[in-house]
Amino acid sequence: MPHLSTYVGLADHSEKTLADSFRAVAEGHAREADVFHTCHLLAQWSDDHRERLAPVIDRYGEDESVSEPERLHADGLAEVRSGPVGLLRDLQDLYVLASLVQTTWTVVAQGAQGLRDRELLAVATSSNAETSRQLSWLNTRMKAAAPQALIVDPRSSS
Amino acid sequence: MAQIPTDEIFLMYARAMGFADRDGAPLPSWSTPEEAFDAWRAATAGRPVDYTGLSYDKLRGPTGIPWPVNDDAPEGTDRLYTDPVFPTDTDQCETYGHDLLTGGAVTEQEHRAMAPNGRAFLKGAPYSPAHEEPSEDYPLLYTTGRTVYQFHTRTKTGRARSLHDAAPDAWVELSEPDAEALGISEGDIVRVESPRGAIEVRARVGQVMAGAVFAPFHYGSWDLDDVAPDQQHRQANELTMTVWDPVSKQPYFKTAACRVSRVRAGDGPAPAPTTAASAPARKGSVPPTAGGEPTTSQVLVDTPRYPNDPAAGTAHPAPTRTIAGRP
Repeated sequence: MPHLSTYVGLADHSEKTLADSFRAVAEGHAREADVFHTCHLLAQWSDDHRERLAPVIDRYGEDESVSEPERLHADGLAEVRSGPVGLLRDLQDLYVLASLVQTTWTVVAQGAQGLRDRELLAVATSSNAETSRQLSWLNTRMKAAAPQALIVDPRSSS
Repeated sequence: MAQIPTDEIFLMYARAMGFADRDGAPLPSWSTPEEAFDAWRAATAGRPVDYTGLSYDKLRGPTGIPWPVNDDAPEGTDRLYTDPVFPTDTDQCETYGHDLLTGGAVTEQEHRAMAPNGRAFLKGAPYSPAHEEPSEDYPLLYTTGRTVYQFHTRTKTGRARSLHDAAPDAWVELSEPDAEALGISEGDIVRVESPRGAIEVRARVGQVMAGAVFAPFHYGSWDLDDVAPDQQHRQANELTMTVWDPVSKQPYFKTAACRVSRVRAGDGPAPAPTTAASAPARKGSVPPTAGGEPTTSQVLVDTPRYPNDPAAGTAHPAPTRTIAGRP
């Protein structure tokens, strides 16, 4: 299972990137009270996924013999943008990161099924379901933010 | 400042913006409250809340009329769910629903995939802790609420003498053990502080559970110059957080953390009613809340006739439909 361990590592790493990025957006857009609270909540979900995955990582170990695909990891949001359009772009970035997480869980689940690894399959399936909810919230929040951000000229408000 | 009715503000704005329909007629097409009601009524046709059968005349009649009220049910409908078929069909429902924890919207496709088919959705959410919990700096639970004698910000109840007198000013309720530990007695002026704000009001040593502090939210000020200086810091929601339910958008005014300290002795018991939830911990320690002089009210000679009155013979209809595929 040379590449499965690579992808288990990618799931762990991309969940961490997503959690960190959710927290960066929460703090950076704290004036949007719902963004602050919901992003912290969703970051916690990604933490939980990693915690459930930890025993599987212990079993598979860090496989150094197989070279990872190039550009395996995506960069998170080190800092946030400002203003309504900035929030919209930051939510879009979170969506891209969450999509990477979700597709990673999808392929990990396929590998787990091939190996009859029930523990990994359970982690991948339940995490995938919660990633869907993260994506769903991001989509809903972007829709709410878009009209004001796209139509209202910030220079016209004093 | 003169008050302008909401509908007039709406119309003034629409006319100033020059809104018009495709024929060049002004939008909205109505100009009086009754015309607005009729336009809104027409928009309900065929929807679950169908009240095309209502009118101003009917509303002025002797009794209330529960919707839907239309050609099928000209006198309204007493009971909505007389059969196990709910308006959850994807093409009929008012909303596809939301994730209760995040507020993420359920899509039409997801809703259709659940094949509602008249079944009710019962949604649950796991326990999630309050957004702020007691800490070393703010060791007490803070919650806000009502007293039986006042409604919201007392714009009406504050003008009824006996209601006003029963609960004339703000207070805060502490448990006996907390009051004792803080050196606070009934009627003392106390400062209640959260990370966001503070109130200074009189203390009722009352019925709340140990570790909790209750403040009524009815008391604020319409104009800070209008109230006595010691009443300027009594707005209970100065302490609560800016956070709301992700689906209903209802603000969370029920949970926060706070600390309480004694400011000075009071000049009598707290202005809290001795009845209902704000009763003092020790019976008889505070003069009881009592009514004033009798007030007059008019009793109708005849009880209005209610068209849907079960006693009058129009019994509730028996279930007529079942969910497809089930007996």
